[in-house]
Amino acid sequence: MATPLGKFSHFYTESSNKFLAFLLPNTTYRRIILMDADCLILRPPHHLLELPDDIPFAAPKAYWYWNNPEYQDTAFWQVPELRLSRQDFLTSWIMSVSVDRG
Amino acid sequence: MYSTEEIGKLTRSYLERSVLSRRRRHGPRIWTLLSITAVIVLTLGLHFHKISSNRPVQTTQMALVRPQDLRKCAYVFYATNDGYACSALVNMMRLRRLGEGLPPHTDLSSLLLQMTFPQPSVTLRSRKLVLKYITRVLFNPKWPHPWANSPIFTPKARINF
Repeated sequence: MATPLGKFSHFYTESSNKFLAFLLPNTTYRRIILMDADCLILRPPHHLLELPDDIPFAAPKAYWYWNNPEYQDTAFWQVPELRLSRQDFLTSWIMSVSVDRG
Repeated sequence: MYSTEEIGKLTRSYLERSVLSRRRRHGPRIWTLLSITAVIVLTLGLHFHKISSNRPVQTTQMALVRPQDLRKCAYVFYATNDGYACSALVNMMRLRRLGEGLPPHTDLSSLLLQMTFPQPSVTLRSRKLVLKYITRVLFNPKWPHPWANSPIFTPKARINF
């Protein structure tokens, strides 16, 4: 899979496997919490499982994105519309996904 | 033969002697019994009301899931190399340890997507270790686990799955 992510291309190609969790059967699962393996759970995030059904997706904001020069090499930074719009980027190290609409 | 008037008199006298007098005689007993029953019911009602008012407020968050919705929630981990697989195991163990207040419809059986879509960066030994952990530790009804004696993995609550 060709990813326009510069030097992070190999890393994100493997990392994108996490999105296969969205293909879990919605007949079995109602909501999932998808976590990266490089994070350490300090407090239980059980409350993220209790989000109402009208919130199909929740993830933390990547607040450090705009101030980190390493990320400025990526293709996102090189697209002027994205850079100037200063959209809120979300990190995917923890995501609460409703399988129905995810 | 009795005339109609005599039959009426006999019937009236029979009723007065049998049914009406019995009703009059048993009337006060019935009201006494009813009043005692009412007192007992009121006493029991106040007792149970007092018990329910002294009951501590449940602090656990109730699940916002419909009763007929039997689908589960799940924690999903994935690993692309052995180091990440080890980190996923640590997080699974911590979830088990911090599982107090876990919603009852939560499936803690973590799904390793790498098992479904294997990559050469995760060794076979690591996959076997993860499978062994999932099958023997997470689904083991006996708790605490032998590792629970360790100060690192001391459980705070007993969890029955």
